[in-house]
Amino acid sequence: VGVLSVFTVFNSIQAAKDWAEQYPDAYGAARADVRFAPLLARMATGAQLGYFTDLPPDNQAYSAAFLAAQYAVAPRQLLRISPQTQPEWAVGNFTKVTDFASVGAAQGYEISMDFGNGVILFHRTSTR
Amino acid sequence: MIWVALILTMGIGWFLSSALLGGAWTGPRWITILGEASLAALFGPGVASVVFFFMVVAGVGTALAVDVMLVALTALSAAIWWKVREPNPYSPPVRRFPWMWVLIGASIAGVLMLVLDFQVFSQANPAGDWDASGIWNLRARYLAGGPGTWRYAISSEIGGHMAGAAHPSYPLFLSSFVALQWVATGNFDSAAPEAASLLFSMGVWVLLGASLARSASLALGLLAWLVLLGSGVFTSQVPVQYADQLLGLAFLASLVLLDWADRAGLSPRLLFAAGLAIGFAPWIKNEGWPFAIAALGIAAWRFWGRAMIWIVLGAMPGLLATIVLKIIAQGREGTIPGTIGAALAKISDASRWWQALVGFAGAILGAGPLWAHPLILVAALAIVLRLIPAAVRRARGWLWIPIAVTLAAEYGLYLVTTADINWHISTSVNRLVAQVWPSLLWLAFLMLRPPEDYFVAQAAVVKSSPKRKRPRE
Repeated sequence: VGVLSVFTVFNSIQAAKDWAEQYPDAYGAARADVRFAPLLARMATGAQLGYFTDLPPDNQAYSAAFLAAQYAVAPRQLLRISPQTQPEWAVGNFTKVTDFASVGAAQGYEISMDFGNGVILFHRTSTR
Repeated sequence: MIWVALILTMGIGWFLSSALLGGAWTGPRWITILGEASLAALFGPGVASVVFFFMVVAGVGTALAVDVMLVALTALSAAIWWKVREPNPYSPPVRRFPWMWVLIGASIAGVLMLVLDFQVFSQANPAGDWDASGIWNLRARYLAGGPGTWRYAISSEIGGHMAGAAHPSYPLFLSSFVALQWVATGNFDSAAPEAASLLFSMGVWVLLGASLARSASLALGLLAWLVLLGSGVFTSQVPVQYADQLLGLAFLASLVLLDWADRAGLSPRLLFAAGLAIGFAPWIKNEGWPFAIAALGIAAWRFWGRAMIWIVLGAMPGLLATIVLKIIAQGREGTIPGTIGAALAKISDASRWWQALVGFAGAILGAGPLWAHPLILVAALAIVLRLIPAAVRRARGWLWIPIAVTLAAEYGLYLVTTADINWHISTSVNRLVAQVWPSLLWLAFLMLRPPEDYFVAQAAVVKSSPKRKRPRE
């Protein structure tokens, strides 16, 4: 029992090592912390932020990207923008370069600052 | 400062567990210290998390207030310990087992490898696994944010309304404990959730072996440690920073303390300690509710009268915090049907029963590699060591009930879930098994005869045989 148990734990170390090498920062939380850091300095800790992305909600990567961004900006609250929910400020979390301005404008927002790495700060221009 | 907050919290837990056990933990001193420390890992963070939660709700969750709270709770628990402490009780000498050193060596080697495993994972993923940054540590950040943000932790907006991420009424033991360390430190150092994850996993591992060493024998305790180390369902959860290991600790502590209270003539201190552990279960995860209800029900049936008062008093901190949370949280769990009719329609679908059964069976089968599956190891030990007498087994049978009820409730949740049942099972069944696994091993090992019995018997045979000549040297 002792030998088998120790061997099993040893086996799990190998598996963990392989997994860690293959998927470092598996869900992008650490990357998001780095990407969103410059934006955080500009927003109050209690702020509510809308969320823009170029990923469609039915894309598998959507939820991982949203949750990583939500964790990175916390304790600020990240909200999915809808006709009922349009906070004054919004963050863009983009996977590729696109026409950020028109993405924001479609929801009544304008670019306030581009932090690079697909991170954009938007400001609401109107209330729909 | 994370370490200061952690040490103070563990200090609170150690003084409380030492005072409540009142010398009940007999056996080798090192096992007593480990055992009390394992209960401290539940009681200290539990009490501190409840107090911190109420401080946050009251708008006084500042760094200074948290420091004062931790120091005050440490002083109070130390004073209680000083007032009620008892001298070390008589411990019978450790019974002889010739291969004890092999078991101790293997346990040390195994646990060192487990810590290495934890380090490898944590270095690659300091924010933990999916639910850690999506639920537990996220809500800790909201709680640590102060008066302007704590409500985000219980908001229906959490997780962007996505299934599996939106849990505004999930209990807050883990998040609150991590948050108070972050508040004390003034930043979101990933060391806090990492340390919590390791602490609770080590707590449940230590408690399993140490309690068996006290209740049955040291060799059985060491064997249980080894089988738990060989359980992939346990080791895989050590670094993930979820609340399942913590819930496993609360389940196991509740059962151990109920058993000891029963054997010790209903000691009020042990009953209070059992109540404290039971009350923390629903404060850790919703799966703690069926366990707590079953444990309180079975306790009421066995210990009716004044004994129940001590258990209920002990359960109050955890239950009270959970009830307040449920009242103030916005929205409800999205996976529970809104009407009884909708639930009955799902229950009447036979394929769901089968899917849930297959899911649980798969998780149990996957609890370890087939060549060293923990169930095979336990079965092999049962064949070699044999079971304790049937009458004693039956007398301990009531301890299975809270775990059986918890498993039945978890099975029932799969039957009625409004989420896709395959997705729900595949993303959670392993963790549900991980919650009850240490308790199931503890119950199984309680039914085995200690290895020492055979060596005592052998020694007795040798002693009673006719005098033999001492062999020449």
